[in-house]
Amino acid sequence: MLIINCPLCGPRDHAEFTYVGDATKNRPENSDNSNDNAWYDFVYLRDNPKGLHQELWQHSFGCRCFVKVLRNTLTHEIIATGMPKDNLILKEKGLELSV
Amino acid sequence: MTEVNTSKNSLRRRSGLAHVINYGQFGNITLSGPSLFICERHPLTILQLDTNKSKTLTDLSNLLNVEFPHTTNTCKGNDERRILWLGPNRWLIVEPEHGCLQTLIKNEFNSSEVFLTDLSHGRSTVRLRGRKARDILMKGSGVDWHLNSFVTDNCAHTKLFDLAATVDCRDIDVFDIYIARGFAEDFWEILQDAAAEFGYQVD
Repeated sequence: MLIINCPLCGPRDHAEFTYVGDATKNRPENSDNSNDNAWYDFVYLRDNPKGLHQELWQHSFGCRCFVKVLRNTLTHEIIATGMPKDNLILKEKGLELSV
Repeated sequence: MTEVNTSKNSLRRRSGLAHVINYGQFGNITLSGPSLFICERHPLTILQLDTNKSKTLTDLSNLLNVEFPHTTNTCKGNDERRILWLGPNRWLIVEPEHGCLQTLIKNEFNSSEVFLTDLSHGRSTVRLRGRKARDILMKGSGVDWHLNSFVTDNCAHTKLFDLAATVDCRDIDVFDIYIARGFAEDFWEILQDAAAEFGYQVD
């Protein structure tokens, strides 16, 4: 069982959460055709990192908020959680993404 | 020919548990009596309220005579009317059904200020009372239900026995559990199974 520490509700079983996706992807600023590659990357391309990964989860059985989770994809250890705007890598000094 | 009276006062809300509740004492009742009491709270007015305007909240508090809780997972209110924190800018208002609370609020506030969803028909409410009530909750969910963590006027929205539930701690060993009406019968059966070892009374 994974325990995810929701910033609002506290520690909860991961079964209460729904996985949303990769939190490292940023939405392209423009929606015009000149930005097709950026949009293709944003919509379809995903890395499959071995190690630390920032993910978005939704606490769908609780406060329904989106939670950013820093998880080790190798060990499933959940290292840090925060609100979607938080940069968890900066919070966890000394840790770097192994992408 | 008999006339059918369709006025609002003549229509009584039917409980989702009406056909499954058996009253009496069940399970492992010891000499000290049942350690758990279960009853259904019905009928209730249950409204979900969304607003992000602080002045509106203040006006609503004055209208309802109950302060809105701003701390996460807490409730405020009295024996009659309760307001539960559901999420950011989202609350659940609960009271025994005796008037149209929705109309009262809608008459005072326009729909751009307050978003109301009537859940009265969609929720069943079960009250757990007794020294083993926390043990039942511990069986069904991983939330920290310890006496020091989950105290009076706290609430939790969680997966209880794999069903989405809202638990309101009314007193040290009194809990109101709000469950989707469609799953109420299932929940009632699970609750009876979980409570059998303690001995329980259905009131």
